Amino acid sequence: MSVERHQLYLDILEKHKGIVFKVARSYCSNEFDREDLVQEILAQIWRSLDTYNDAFKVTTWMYRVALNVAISFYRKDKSAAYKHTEIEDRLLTYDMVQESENEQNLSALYAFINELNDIDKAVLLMYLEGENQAEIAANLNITISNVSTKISRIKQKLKLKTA
Amino acid sequence: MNLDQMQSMWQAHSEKLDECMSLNKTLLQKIQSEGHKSELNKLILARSLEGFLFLIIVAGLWHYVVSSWSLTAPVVSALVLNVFATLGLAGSIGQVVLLSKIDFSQPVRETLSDLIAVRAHGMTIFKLLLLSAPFYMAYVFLGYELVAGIDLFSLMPAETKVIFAIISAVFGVLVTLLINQLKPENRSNKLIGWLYREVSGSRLTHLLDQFDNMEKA
Repeated sequence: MSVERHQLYLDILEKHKGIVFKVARSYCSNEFDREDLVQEILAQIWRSLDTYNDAFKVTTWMYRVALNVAISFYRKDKSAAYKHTEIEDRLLTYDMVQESENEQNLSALYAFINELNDIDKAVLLMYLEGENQAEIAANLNITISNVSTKISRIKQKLKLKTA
Repeated sequence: MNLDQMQSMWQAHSEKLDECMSLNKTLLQKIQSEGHKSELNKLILARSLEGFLFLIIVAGLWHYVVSSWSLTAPVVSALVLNVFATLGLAGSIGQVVLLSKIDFSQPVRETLSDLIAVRAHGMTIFKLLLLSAPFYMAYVFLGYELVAGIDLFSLMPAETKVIFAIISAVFGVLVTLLINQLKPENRSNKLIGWLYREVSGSRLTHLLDQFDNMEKA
């Protein structure tokens, strides 16, 4: 493994580790699957590093890798098997104290995202990150009108949920 | 809460995440050094072993054909089975090539299509086995020759040969009908859905469901 490649990997992860966390929390509600998903995303980011070039925004590239892994990730739901077990070592540690005042709202937000199907989750995550419909369509390779329909449907679901 | 409020909350959350989160570099290093344990690498290893197994079968069958060359039932059987084993070998090589080319930084649709092709491999091998079912007597003729040195076909009465030929033809029709129906879009059919789950596993079903979700406008 070259030193430059490893350093680039660490730099990208250090700056954008939040993307991995947000995608993993959106796609896995149980923490054991989430930890597996984080590992798989980080392994794929390392594997895909050769495809990264300046033509992409690094966040777009990272979102693509993370979403592709998350959508194809098969959730084994280990929560029952490991219910008395604590995860000893986590790849991403999240200091809940600093976020505690928002945690209730955030939990509700993630709970809503968790209820969506995997493709709608991807659309919503990119929308929340501020990507426009053309960029979302390009990242999924679907039509802009399809993205627009999916966003309208998500809005309706949200309306029903909060009504 | 509406989507705009959700977006503001999300952006505040994103900004705070960088302060709240730390990356366990020691564990990261360990994962990198254990890169061979990733899902794709395990699949590449499994398909390579499968390909090696097919290669041994193909080489063994060719060796038998060449060393026993004559127009007998066991030799013809070995040639027929060799066609299926060669198709299996080509499939395994194709899978290894596809697996090493999968790019997770492509748009989601492309990656999903590649992963579906990878996960559908079990179904492809199953179809190959089904296709060989009408030639089931080839296994029997070759088996008898290899184990007991008997050319069973030459000892069979003509009526028995006709019965086996009819059974093979019936198998041929049934297999053709079934393979024709074994398509992802027919998964709503109980038998096809069950075969997809049992043969290819839930991972393929999951990927196909996501692909359908993507198409739905």
